[in-house]
Amino acid sequence: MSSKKQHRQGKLKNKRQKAEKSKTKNRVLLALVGLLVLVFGLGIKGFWAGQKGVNQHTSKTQSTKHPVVVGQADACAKNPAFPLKYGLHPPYFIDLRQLDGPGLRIIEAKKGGKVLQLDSWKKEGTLGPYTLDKNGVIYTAPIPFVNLLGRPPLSYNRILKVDAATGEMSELMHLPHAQKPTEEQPYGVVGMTYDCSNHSLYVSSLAGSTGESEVGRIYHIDLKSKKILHQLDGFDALGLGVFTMKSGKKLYMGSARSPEIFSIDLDDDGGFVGQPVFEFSLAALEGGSYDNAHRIRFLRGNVLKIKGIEFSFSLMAASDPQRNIYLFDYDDQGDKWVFREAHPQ
Amino acid sequence: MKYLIPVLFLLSLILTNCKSTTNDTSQATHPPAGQTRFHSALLTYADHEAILSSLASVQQFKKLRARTLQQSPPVIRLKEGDVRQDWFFAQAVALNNKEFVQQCFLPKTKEPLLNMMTEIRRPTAKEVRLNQLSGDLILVEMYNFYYNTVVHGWVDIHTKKIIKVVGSPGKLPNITKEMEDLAKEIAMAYPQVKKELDVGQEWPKDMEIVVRNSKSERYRHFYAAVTMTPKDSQHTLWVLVDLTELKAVGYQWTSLWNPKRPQLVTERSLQNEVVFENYCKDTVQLNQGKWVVNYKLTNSDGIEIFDVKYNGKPVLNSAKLVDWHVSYPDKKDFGYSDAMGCPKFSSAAVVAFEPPDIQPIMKGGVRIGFSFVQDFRSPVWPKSCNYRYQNRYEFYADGRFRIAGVNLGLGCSNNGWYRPVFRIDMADEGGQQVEVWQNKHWEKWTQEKWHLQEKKARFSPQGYLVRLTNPDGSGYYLEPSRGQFGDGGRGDHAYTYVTVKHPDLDEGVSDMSTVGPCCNTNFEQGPEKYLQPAEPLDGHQVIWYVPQMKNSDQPGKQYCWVENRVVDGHEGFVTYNGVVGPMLVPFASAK
Repeated sequence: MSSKKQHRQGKLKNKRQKAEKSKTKNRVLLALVGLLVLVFGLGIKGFWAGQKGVNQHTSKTQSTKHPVVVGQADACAKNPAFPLKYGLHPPYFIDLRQLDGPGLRIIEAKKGGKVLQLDSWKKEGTLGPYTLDKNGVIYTAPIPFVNLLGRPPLSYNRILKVDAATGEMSELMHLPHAQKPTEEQPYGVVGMTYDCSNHSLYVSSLAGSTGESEVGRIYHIDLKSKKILHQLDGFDALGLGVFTMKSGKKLYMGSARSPEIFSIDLDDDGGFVGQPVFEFSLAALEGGSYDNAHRIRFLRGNVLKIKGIEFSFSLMAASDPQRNIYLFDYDDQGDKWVFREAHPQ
Repeated sequence: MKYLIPVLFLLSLILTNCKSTTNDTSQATHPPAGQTRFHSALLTYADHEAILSSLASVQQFKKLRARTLQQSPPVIRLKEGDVRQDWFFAQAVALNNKEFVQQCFLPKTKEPLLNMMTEIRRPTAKEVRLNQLSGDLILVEMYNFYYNTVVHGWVDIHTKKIIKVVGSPGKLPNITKEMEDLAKEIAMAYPQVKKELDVGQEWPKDMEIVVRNSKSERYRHFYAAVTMTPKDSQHTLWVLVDLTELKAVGYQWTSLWNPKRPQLVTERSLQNEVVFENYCKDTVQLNQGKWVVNYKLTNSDGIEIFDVKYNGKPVLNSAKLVDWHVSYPDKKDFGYSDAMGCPKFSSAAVVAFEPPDIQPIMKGGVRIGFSFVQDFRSPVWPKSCNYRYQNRYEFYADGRFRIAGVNLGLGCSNNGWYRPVFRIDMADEGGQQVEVWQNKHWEKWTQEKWHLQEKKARFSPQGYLVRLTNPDGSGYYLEPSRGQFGDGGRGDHAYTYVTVKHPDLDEGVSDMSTVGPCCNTNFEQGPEKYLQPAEPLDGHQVIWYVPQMKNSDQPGKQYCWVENRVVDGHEGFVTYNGVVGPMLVPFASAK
């Protein structure tokens, strides 16, 4: 349309424009009302979303009162002091592969490095997950391995601790189970991770889960009082890891039933907010397998490292299982994890 | 008031929007357990040869494979039309690079191993970054069928030289157009697949067929998944095709492909699903000739047969193999009490990958019975410290039956001892008298006991050790293996325990997680706990039978052992089966 033609038509429609101005005022008002409703609606939606997944002892919303510091939640964890007493020098490996018999071993991370295994560590038999705290205490848990000889299914829903100064292993606590574990599914505690911000552990337990019912739990445990602060019901998880994103703190969970990773928001007290949300599938990644995320670790430089293994609620075989490593980098701009690569361990 | 209607309209829109958003989110949240299961099956015992013999593409590929294995290096090449013309040179550059073709021959024997060029392309920026490379590069990809490894060669487009070679074991190769077509043709040839899709002679043109990568975690082969979605269907059939052995492996229905949350079918997921759903949950009945056999895959006692009848008459209440005790005498207390069982939700570490195999037993061209075999494996058998066992049952037309265990290696060393623990509960409703051949006559056992077949053990003139006699005078002999069964077995040298059946006590009636420790070399294999203190026998007893065998890797004398072989350029195995277990031989009443 030319500018002249526009001008002529403008004159002819002058009166109509005045009327339009009045209508526009009304529209702005309507839009404002609509905006208010939208804000109100979103508030409702947020409230619903918060309510929908609330589990027993979980919080309602994710608070944002503290400034967000992106990074791993267990950065303060440190090595125990006791290996020095036995002539071992850091860095160490904490070896729970059970390759040379059951129990914990601490190995100097160098060729021909010394190996330490105290007597109290053998008594608990085969062990699975572990994590360290800010004082150098090692937390671990017994797991069934090859067979159940001498260790009935009820003995696997426990957390053990190794004293940072003496190296003595003792029981921290027995965890409750949703249903009694059986020989068909003897697993109890299978995953754990430490949170520096409130000196607490997140622990996943499969106790009582069966092929038909998923009754696994994730416990949030205060290490000072040994009390369960929060618990998430009905989720069978293996590996656990906590990371603070720009959008807030999340617990990452490797499903024990599928090759999938889920996350759930955490509030300032470490309570669970909402429902577990699907993040990605290990099987669908380039080079990925039908693996379950056995260990989830966050490394310096905001790297997510997942160890994947075959897990089907049967016992681990005697041989060293096939493990695949999956690496992801934190994308600061997009506040998300970007897959880097997968390779056999 | 005049804004009430638009406000209500907006509010309803927002609420609708909230609802739909919630639904979207729920798709991405954690699904409840016991979600819908889709039909799945394995084609392990399909007649692959007959099904694929008329498929020209399969025959052509076999010829190509044979020709390639005669070449040096043994690599199936990409053709000129498969690759951009100005990149095609990179194939020759790679094949002339020693490092790139390093794994084309078996180091020890120099046997040719099958390889295939799968891709020549520009690398992605991410690949260049991860490999810390720079320049104008072409990526050449080759797949090694023997090692199940992808080899990447990085070729500088200007210097026409390889600047880096990277081998990635277990990585999935690109599926070339030829292999894609081959996978499709194989999948579509199976009558089982056609039946699932209700396809007649002609395949519907509107059926969506897509070939995707799939993983072979256990056999470590080159797998492709052919996904088939009938028009307007909400479900997709995944057919797994083994491109190493050129056959279809099995199939599973899934919901439609969702790129946001992909559900994949791989070898392991398919095997676990089929075996668990079909053999671990319910009893299966087998009717063959005069035999009726009920069986179920157990939590940790292998495959149990029970309520077995011959000619309508009960002969066996139950038989199972509860443990394999594996010990290595050169390493004190080192070994394992292995249990065989279901692949999911079980206390077994050596699990079933495939359904049981039922085969006729022939003698002189005549069918004289049938065998019933269930295979169990560690995840990556035959790698070191992985085990493979079998339950083997044989049923003969004349009423004999055998309860056997098979060891297929490999274990942790060539100095391994294997002691499988059988629990045998004969049908003895009327009571059975137990006699054992000792001091050249049948000696009646009146109380619980155990017995060892020493190296110079004596058996009855017919080779029997135990006689079980019913009140009417009929019964069964127990005939240990002395190597006479023609299966390569070298004798049982077994401990035999006879214990009283207590109706009020379990004592192995239900699943036994582990009956005894790994490394005892004497009678203390576990069942001895049921005869302390020894009780008088009352005609209702359980026989525990613990044979002993030692493995060997000595050439010509291998036993309980497995060796790798090159088969058609890929990895194959030769097993030296250790077979133990008694034959139960019926006898009629003297009356």
